[in-house]
Amino acid sequence: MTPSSNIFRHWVVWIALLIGALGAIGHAADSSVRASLSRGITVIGDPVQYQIKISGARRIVPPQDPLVDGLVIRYAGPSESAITRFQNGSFFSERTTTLVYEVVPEKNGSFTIPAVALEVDGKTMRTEPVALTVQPSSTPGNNDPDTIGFAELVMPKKTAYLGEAIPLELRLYVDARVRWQPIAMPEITGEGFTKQKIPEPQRSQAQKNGKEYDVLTFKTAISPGKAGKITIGPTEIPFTARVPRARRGGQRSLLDMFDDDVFGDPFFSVSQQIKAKAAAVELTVKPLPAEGKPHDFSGAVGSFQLAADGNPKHVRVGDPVTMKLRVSGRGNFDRMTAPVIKDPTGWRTYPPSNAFKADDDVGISGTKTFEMAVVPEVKKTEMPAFQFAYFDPTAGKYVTLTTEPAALSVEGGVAPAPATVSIPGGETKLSPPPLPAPPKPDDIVGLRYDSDAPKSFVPPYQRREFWLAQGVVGLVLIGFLGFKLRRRPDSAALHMATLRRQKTEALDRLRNGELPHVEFFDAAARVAQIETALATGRSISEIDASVVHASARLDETTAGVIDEIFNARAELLFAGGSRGDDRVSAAERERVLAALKQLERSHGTS
Amino acid sequence: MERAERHFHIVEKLKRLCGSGFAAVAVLCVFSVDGHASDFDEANQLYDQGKFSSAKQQYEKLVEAGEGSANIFYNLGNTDYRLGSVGRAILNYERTLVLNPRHPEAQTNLWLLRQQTGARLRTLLWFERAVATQTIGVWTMCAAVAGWAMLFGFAFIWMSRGDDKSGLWLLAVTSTFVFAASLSASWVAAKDQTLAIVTARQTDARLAPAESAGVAEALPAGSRVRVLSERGEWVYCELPGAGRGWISQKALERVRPERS
Repeated sequence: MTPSSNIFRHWVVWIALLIGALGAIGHAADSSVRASLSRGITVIGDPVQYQIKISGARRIVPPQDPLVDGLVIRYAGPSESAITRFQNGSFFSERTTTLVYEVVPEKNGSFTIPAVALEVDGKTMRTEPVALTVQPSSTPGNNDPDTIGFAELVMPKKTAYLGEAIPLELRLYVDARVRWQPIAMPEITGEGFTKQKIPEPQRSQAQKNGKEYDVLTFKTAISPGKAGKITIGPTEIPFTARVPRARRGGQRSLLDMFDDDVFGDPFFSVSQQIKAKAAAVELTVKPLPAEGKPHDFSGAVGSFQLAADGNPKHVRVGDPVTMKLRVSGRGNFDRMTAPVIKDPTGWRTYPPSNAFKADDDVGISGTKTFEMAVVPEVKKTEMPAFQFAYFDPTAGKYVTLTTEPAALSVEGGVAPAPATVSIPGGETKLSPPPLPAPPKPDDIVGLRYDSDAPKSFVPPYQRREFWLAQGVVGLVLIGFLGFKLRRRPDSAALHMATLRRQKTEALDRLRNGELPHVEFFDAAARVAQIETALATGRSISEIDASVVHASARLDETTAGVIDEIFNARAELLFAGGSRGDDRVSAAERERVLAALKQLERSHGTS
Repeated sequence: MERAERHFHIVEKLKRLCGSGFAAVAVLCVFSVDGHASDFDEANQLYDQGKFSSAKQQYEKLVEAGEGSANIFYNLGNTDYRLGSVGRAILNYERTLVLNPRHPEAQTNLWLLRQQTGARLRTLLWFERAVATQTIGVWTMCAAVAGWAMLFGFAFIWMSRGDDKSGLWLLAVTSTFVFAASLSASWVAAKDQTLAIVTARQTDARLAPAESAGVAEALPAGSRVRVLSERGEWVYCELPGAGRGWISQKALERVRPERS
C-alpha cells in the first residue's frame, strides 16, 4: 500500500465521523425574544438601531413595523448567527436571528416603542417595550458637510433638584474616514454645579444623517449647587486629524477629498489640530422643599437603601461595638453623611469613617459603608437603630430609612453583691459592701445668686480710654526726657560762656585806673589770651604773644603793644620788676586797651 | 489782696461742685447697682419657680442693658439648658468663662454638656492653655504696665549720672521679658475674639456655601469654631478638625456678641 492511499483512507474516516457528528447535532429547545435599542438617547435625525433578537427559533415570521408617532421605524433586514456547543455528550446548535430596524426621530420627547408580537415556530411571542429619549441637539451645524468632527453635551433631564447627581455625556463625533486621535481630556465649564472626574472615554461607531462617525464618549456626573437656571458648557475637545492636502484648481469640498484613495498617505495629507465645540446645555434646578425636611437630613439626594450590622454581639458596659452602616443606591454619594443613631440615650458614639465602592464609571451608583464605634454606657439588649434621611427626586419628597436593631448582649453595670466571710470562733459576718463608684454628674450645677460687676467683652486695646491712658503716660515720658535733655547744657558752650565772663571781668579791671602794673599787665595778657582762645578754640595755657599774632592780622603798633603786654607781664611776674606797685598811667592804659580792642576787632568776636 | 480772695472763692466753689458731683454719681451708682441686683434676683426667682422662659427674658434684658456679668451669663446658660437648648447653654457658659476664666460652676457645667453632646473641640497647645487662665484684659494691662516700666527704665539708665545703675538695669530687663510674654499672650488671646459655638443640635460644615455641598465635618452642639469670614447666610470657619468649612449662620453664634 502506498502512502498516498493511506492518507486517503484517513480522510475518509474523518469525514465519516464529522458527518455522523453533524447528524447528531440537536437544537436548543427554548426560544426567547428580546428587543433593544443601540442607544437610549438621541437627537432629531440621528438614527438608532432597534433590534429584535430571537434565539433558538427555526421559523420566524417578521412582524409589522412598529408605529410610533414622532419616530420613523423602517425594517432594515435580518442577520443570523449560530453557536454550536457540546453539552452532556451531544452537540447543540443555537441559532439567533436579529431583525434590525432603523429608527429615525422626527421630534423631541420621550418615546416608547411598544411590545411587538411575532410568530416564532408557530407560537406568538412578544417583546418588552423599550424607551427612547429624543432631545434637542446641542450641536448646531452638525449637518455641515465640511465638518470633520463635532461634539455635543447630552443630559437625560432638563430639570433637577438641588444636589441631585445627573449623568452627563460629552460625545465627540469624527468622520469615520478620517484618521484622528484625541489630544487631551475635555473640561466641562460652567458655574453653579460640581462635577465628577471624567474617566477614560469609550469608543464606538454611529451613523448620523446617513454618515458614519467614530464616536468618543466622555461620561461624568454633575450635581447642581444652586437653585435656578444653570448653564453647563460650552466645551471644546481638541483632536488631531490627518486632512488631505488641497489640490490645485479643485473646487471640491474638504470631505470629498476623503473619498480619494490617497487619504492617509502622509504625502497627500497633513496633520491638523481641530477643536470640536459642544454647545452649552441648560438645566433648571429646583430647591429642595422645606416642607417635611427631616431634622437629620444632610443633603443626600437620590434613591437609597440602608442596612446595618454590628460586631461583636456580646460586650461589657463601656466596650465598643463597631457598627457597619451600608447605604447603597443611586445618588450624590459625595455629599452623603453617616446615618444617625435614632435614640442616643445610653450610647456614646464616635465620628465614623467611610468608604465608597462605585458600581459605575462616574460614582453616582454604588455603596457607601460607614464604620462607627458605639459604646453602651448602660445594659442594653439590642444594637442601636440608625436612621438615614434623603430626598427622593423621583417622588419629590423626603424619605427616612430606619434600620432594624439586632440583638446585643451587654454585661456589667451592676455592683456585685456583698460577699460573706467567716471569722474563726465567731459568727459569720457580712463584709462591708464595696464603696460605690463616685456618681457621675447627670445634671448641671445650680444658679449663682450673688450678682457680680458687669463686664465687657471688648478687649482693652479696642477701648478709647485705654489708649488715652497710654497717651498720658507717653506724654509724661516725653516730658521727662525733654526736661532732662534741657538740663544738660553743652560743656563747650559752658566753657565759652565762662571765658566770655572772665574776659568781661578782666576788661572791667583794666578800665579801672587803680590797678598796679603787675595786675594791669596780667589782666591785659589774660584778655589777649581769652580773646585768642575764643577765636581759635585753643587752651588758654597754650597761648602766648606769638599765638596771638598768628591768630589775627595786626598792624605793627598793635602787634608791638601785644608783645609789650606779654613781655611786661613776664618781666613783672618772673623777673620781679621794680615797677610792681606803680600805677599805670592813663595814656598807657588807653594804649593797651586800644590794642586789645584792635585784637578783638580783628578776631571779630566783640 | 482782692486777687487772693477771689482765688479762694473760686477754689471753694470748685470744691463744692466736685462734692455735689461725687454725691450725685454715688447716688446714681447705688440706684443702678440696686436696680441691677433686683432684676437679677427677680430672674433668679423666676428660674426657681420653673418659669424658665420668663427667667431667660429677664437675664437677656440685663445683658442688653449692658449689665452682663459672668454670673448672669452663667445663669442664662442654666436657663437655656432647662429649656432644652444645649447649644445655647454651652455658648453662655463659654461667655461666662471669657469674663471669668476661673468660674467653677461654669467649668463644671460646660464639661458635663460637652460630654452629653460630644461637642468637637480643637486640642489646645500648652501655651494656649496657659493664656486661657486669664482674660485678654489682664494680659493687655500687664503688657501695658510692663511696656512703660521698660521704657522708663531705659530712659532713667540713659539720663542717670550715678555710677551704680544695676537696679535700673534689673527693672528694665525684667520689664522687657514681662512685656514680651504679656504681648504674646494678648496676641494669642486676641485670636479667640473670633470664637463661635455651634448652637444647633447638629450641623455640618460644608465645603462650599450651599446646603447641597459636600460635608467637611459634622459638628454637634457646643463645638468650637473660629470665624474667618462671612458670606451672606454662610460663615467660613476654622473647624475643630483643623480643616475649614462653611456653616450656616443660623447654626452658630459668636462667643463675644457683636454688640458687646
